Amino acid sequence: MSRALVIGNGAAGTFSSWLLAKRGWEVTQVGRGTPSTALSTGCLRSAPDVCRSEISEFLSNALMSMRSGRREGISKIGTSFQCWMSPSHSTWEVEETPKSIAVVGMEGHPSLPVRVTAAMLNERGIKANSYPMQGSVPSDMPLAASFRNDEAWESLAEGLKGISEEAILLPAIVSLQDYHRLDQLERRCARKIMEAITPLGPSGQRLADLMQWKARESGVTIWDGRKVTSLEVKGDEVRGATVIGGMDARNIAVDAIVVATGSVLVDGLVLKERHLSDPFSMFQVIRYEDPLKGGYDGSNGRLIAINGRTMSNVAGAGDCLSSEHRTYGSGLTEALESAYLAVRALEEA
Amino acid sequence: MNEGRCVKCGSCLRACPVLNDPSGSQFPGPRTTGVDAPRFMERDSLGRNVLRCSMCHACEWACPSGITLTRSMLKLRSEMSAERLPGHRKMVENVTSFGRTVSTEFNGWIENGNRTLYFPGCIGLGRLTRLTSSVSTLLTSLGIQHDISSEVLCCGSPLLKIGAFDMAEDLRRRNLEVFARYDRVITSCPGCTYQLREVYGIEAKHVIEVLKGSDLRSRLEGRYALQVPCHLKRGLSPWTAEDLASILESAGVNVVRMPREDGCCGGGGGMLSGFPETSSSIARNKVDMYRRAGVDGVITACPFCSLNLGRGGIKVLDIGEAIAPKH
Repeated sequence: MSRALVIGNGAAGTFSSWLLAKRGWEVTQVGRGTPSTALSTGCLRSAPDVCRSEISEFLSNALMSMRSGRREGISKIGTSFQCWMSPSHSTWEVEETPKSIAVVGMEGHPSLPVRVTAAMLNERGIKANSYPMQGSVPSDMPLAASFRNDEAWESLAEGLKGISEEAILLPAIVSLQDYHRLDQLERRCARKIMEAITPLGPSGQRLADLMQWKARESGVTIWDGRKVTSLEVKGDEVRGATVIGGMDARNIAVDAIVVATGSVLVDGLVLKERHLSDPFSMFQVIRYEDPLKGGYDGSNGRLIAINGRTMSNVAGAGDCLSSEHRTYGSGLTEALESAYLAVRALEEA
Repeated sequence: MNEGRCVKCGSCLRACPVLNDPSGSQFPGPRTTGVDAPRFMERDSLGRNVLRCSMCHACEWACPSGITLTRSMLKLRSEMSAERLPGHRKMVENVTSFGRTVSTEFNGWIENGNRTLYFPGCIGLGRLTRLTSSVSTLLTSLGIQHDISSEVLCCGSPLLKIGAFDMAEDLRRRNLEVFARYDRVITSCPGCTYQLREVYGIEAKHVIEVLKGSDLRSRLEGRYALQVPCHLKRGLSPWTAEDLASILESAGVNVVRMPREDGCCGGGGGMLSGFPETSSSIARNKVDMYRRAGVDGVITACPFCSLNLGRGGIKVLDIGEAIAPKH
């Protein structure tokens, strides 16, 4: 079996790993920390041009049902959010906007500023009222922490009893494992339960968790919390990599590599010092039997070593930032599409 | 340090086991204690709430900017005033009078001049002596003759966590005199192992690293979940943390894997002594998670996890208590 190394545990890296594993590769995925997927809204804003069915299969799961098509949701400050795919409670089909919405959240907590949101919705012609929850939670404490147990959900459901609006908008507070609580609440209240679209919240983390779970399920070995520090190059092929984790380091042999490290936050956002168009700047390439003198360049998703050779068994994916034609909010879709193209390129090579 | 890289994304807040516990609302959070406070003058106003952190490194792993939050927090702790919480004061008193953080109950010392030293750590010698005896028996039956020296003191890790750097340094000096008589040090506590490697600079081995590759069998009936210790996975080596599962599985233990098995139990960073109520709340919530999974118990490889989760009312075993040599 051929061994693939996927570097990066974001959307592109995880989708590549899943695709490769399904095609019979032995895949090791190395990721250092929170991918930018986890910082997203957890929705795919634009529809992909290629591999639509693969993406649907990748994101389908038993814990959180996903919907696709022309979808619309409400951001946590009451603006309209349109997308192609989202979890079922995030959006509705365009033109099925609820007539009236109850905005429920904790006043003073950044998860959902209820009064501002209700005012924004009224401004947009959607009848909305705000219902602040009792209590106070420090702004740095995730509101989700207060909704961990059955009692908290029970008292939330009790509190929502008298609400007459057609839909209830809640802050994003559920993890992947807890997503079913929204379905339960919807059945119990007989009102449509909506979750505010929130970047940098639990929704993106959920999507990242879901992707990792799917990859793991398909047999990918995930080395989380680890970092590739160097690649071993022989001729025009990468043959191995050094991975560090904690106080330990390992060398692994590889037949192919997907570099999926490129995103806004690579290597700590040292904006001044790094070339933003080069998603590969975090590695030092080691030529076979000549272990030093790093520095190389990435070009069209191909890795070029210092000897000027294009690495034949390396493909790049998910390089959101260096893509000049990226439209606002299309990053996740583009990451998945480029992962598909990277895997196809490796299979053809 | 590298706090300036913070992009205020909040990943550390979502990852923090203390902030995500209902009892954790007094903790200002990793972003305040690990990123903001070290840079700003107002840090003194935070008071002792900065100590409400279990030093589990989860924020550090979650940080997309690679900020070394734990290091910043340790520095902040070292700059705090010497006025201590009651539990931490007791710890300091204990170390001053007999060199360990808790009173010593263990009496099975082995001082035969073997070349290998088994270093159980304060909890193993004071609270969980059965764990220590099990690991010792296991090592012996694998042919690893070892000493358990009564002269060895606290490794100093808990003292660093409460900002007592000088005391930790003194312990290091005294322990190194004992270590000089040995070729090899084996520990059963990831916190001690980390301290010995990082601060002492000696190649201490955690017992998992010693057990790897041995022919072992299970001593247990039933289904067991894992509590993957923070300082093993996010401190020493994530590979060693994975070996915890693979050793148990190949010995024939019925291991149930689940998400968040590597989440903090709440027992580290001086929380167990400083803020016992938060510590036990985090443990209780973890125990609830294990109960929901319907397992018969939990296996770990850290005395702090054993102690703290055990208090939450579930059967908790150390890897040394779960397996035995095949022959």
